Amino acid sequence: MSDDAILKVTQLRKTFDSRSGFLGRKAKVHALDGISFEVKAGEAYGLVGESGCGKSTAGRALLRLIEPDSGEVEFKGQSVTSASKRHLRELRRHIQIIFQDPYASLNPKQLVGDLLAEPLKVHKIVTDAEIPERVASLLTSVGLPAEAATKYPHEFSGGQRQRIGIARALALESEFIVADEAVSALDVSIQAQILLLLQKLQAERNLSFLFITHDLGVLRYFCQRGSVMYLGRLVESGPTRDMLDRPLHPYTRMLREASPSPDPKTARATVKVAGEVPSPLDPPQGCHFHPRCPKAMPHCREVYPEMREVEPGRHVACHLHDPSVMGEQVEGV
Amino acid sequence: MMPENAVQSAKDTILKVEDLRIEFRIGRKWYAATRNVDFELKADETLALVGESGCGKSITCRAILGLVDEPGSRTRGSINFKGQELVGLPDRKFQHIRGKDLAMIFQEPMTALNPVMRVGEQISEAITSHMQVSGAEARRRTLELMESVRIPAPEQRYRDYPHQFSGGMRQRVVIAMALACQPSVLLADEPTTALDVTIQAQVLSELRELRERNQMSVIFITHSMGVVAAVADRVAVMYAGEVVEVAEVETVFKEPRHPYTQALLASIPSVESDKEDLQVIPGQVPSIVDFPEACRFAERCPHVMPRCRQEAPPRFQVGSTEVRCWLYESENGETGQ
Amino acid sequence: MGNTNSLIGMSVFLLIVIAALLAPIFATHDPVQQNILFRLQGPSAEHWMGTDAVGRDIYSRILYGARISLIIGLVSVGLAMIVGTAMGVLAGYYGGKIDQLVTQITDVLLAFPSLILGLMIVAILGPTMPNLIIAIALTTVPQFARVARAPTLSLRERDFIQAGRALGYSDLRIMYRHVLPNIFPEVLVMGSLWLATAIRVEASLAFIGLGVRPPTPTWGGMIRDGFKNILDSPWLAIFPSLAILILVFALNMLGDGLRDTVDPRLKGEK
Repeated sequence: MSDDAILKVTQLRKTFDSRSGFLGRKAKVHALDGISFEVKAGEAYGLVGESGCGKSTAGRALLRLIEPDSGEVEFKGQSVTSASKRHLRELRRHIQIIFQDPYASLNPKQLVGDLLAEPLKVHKIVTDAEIPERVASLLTSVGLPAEAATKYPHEFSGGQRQRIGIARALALESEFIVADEAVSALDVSIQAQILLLLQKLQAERNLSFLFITHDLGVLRYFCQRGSVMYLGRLVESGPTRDMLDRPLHPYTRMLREASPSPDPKTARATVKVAGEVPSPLDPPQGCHFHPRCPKAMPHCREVYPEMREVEPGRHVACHLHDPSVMGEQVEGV
Repeated sequence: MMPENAVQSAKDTILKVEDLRIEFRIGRKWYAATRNVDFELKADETLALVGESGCGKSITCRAILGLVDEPGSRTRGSINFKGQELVGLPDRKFQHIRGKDLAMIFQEPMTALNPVMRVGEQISEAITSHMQVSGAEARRRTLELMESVRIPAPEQRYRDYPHQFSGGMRQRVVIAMALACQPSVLLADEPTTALDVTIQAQVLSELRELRERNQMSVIFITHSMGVVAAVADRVAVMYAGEVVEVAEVETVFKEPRHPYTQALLASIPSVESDKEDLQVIPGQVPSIVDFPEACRFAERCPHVMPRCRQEAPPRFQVGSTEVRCWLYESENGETGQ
Repeated sequence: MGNTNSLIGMSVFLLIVIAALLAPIFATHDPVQQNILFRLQGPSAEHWMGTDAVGRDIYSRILYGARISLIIGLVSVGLAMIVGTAMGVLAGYYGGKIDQLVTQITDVLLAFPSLILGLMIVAILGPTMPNLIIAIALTTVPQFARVARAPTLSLRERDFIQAGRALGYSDLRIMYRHVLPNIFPEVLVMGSLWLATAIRVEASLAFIGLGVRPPTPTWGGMIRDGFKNILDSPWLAIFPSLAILILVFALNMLGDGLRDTVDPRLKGEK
């Protein structure tokens, strides 16, 4: 693990059982098929992909809200995956999660003040007498008035609720936050407010993020580095700016071209998007992306490409970037 | 349907919405969910109705289809469709228009389809419910439609059920149903919002082709400026129940006039370039019971003037753009009330 | 609509509870005092609802009988509610083996109609008040387990429960503080509906001779006694039957009304 990594994920796997149809036979869905990445301290690391690619499972498996089947998650050198129940509860103090749906992530029967006070009480962060003051300061830090404490979650708008969710994640003074599509359900102007808030908090508290999103614009804005996921695997990792400006993997390129950009000229260029994401129950042989890939070669149908570093800090799992497959012909995709 | 030789000039207005005001009764008072909604839909164009949640875009769309009929609601103003006034039209008469000449596609393709009915039968039902055709003819047209919305192997998929289709394919079925009676206007309410980006890109480009091929006009409702850029010819921006700006699509992105449009565009994180800072619109959209009488954006506007809080701005013409904002008062004469 | 119904149901129920509590005050006669001279009298100014075969005052016996019905009903349903809800929440929250076990137990218990199950238990253990309570509670436990399990299963997947786990809350705390308050309204509705059933079952058991032993007055027992003279003195059976009818009806109204008000679709959480 490099010195400045706060979180290291190695070969994380998770399979779900799935029954196809009524009386169908059982099948395995490889939601996570051996993903590895590192998040540096103070960094926002992005995980981007389409629905069903496993990015949310990855976020939850990190915290063991979903138990991974195998693989290793290390937080500041301590193993999360092999932690005892008690140790895990202690570790979870340092890693928090913000959810997509600000309506589902707050207990509707709890006053906002109570839901912020509860983690403080459980972990005895402050004395009981100090709780109201701490709750008020949490609310202020996310841009809500202190009176919000005496209301119920349903009295707030989506953006305000997401602020409450963020305040709760900050209550334990965590250093690492998993943001699972935290701004996806919000209107753009509210999304911008929340992104700025997260950025401010990141700077103030030196937070690190695993930022799960499907929006490349948000990825570029918020994350320094990141990975693209497709059918349970990472296909490309590196600095987000490089990935989006010069995508190495054909899937990254396809995502990039399909992303609606607010410019009529580029938005109308004919999009070269072929096919649909195949069923994760029955991923294609070889490279999972080959049926949709404009540059697929016979080799791609047989062998899944290994992730390899092709430029400093940039990794891609694609035969096009493998000199041993391409011989002399390696060039930009 | 227009006869084929009657080539319409691009300027023909097919649908004209004027001062649409949809009100709801909450307690004892009536509140206007929309007011000052004015726009025109021209033949063979796509007009995007864009705005954030609660801006009134969906309810406007429902009003055009005559679907705002719950107790405690009333619709005022005018919706003129090919010379016929739709506001106040009895439901009995509306049924001849709705689904036939005015078709609609919804956001959630799953709920728009009957889960226990074969996909092909659902499409052909859409045909036979408005047109007198034989079963064989309906089937032939259904297969044609399925082909035209790029559903592969329509003969086989005709007998499939909706759950056997992916999200993108389901939305294609919904589109095929909407096109069944060759409508002259298609209302699409966030039809790609539930889809993944790569599928969205496919459906959007197919919708563009279909619109051109079928010579229809489309009102496309969306919250995404990216989608607007991809489909629209003209754009009507809505905020808090009002249309605040109407312009050609290039103009909106190049020279947004209304401070809300400007702020909206500045708050989108770009895929292409590194934006120094996202611009944030402070505060929240007011709720329907707190809509200000004067300019509804005044409280959040960086250019607010005393007048903005006293009087609702009329429509001003700035170049080809119509904008409801006092900033443009001196520039040119009013066009509307 | 739901509110008016539950209000009426609630008022009638409370009235009966008060009447039972204050039975010594409201009663005109000693409920067990026999007076053979005044046997089988019709309703009169002295005996408002008449007297039975041994001359006891029916009105007073109904008041005292309400105590038995209510105590057995409330205690057994209360017990069943606590045990059943706990079982259901545990099953729904943990899933897996615990869920299988709970589901199997409830399935077995639900296979018997409550009356038959109660009858078997009382027949084996003997017809005393505690045994009756256990029997009725046992027949009602699976109902609560089922009503608690289903919403727990879906709540478990909700983000705020996941957030609780991420915040390091103990499972017990999550179940008690976060799951329970969210399913409690439904459990309570179930409670009022099953209270009605419990009272009916108690009366039925008493009617077939498996109630609390005489001379303690019970409504079911009174109907049973009255049946012998149903032709010449119908009031003996009619008044206690009416009492059961009114109480059960009031509880059902209360439950249905409550159900409408706590229906999850109408709650303010979108």
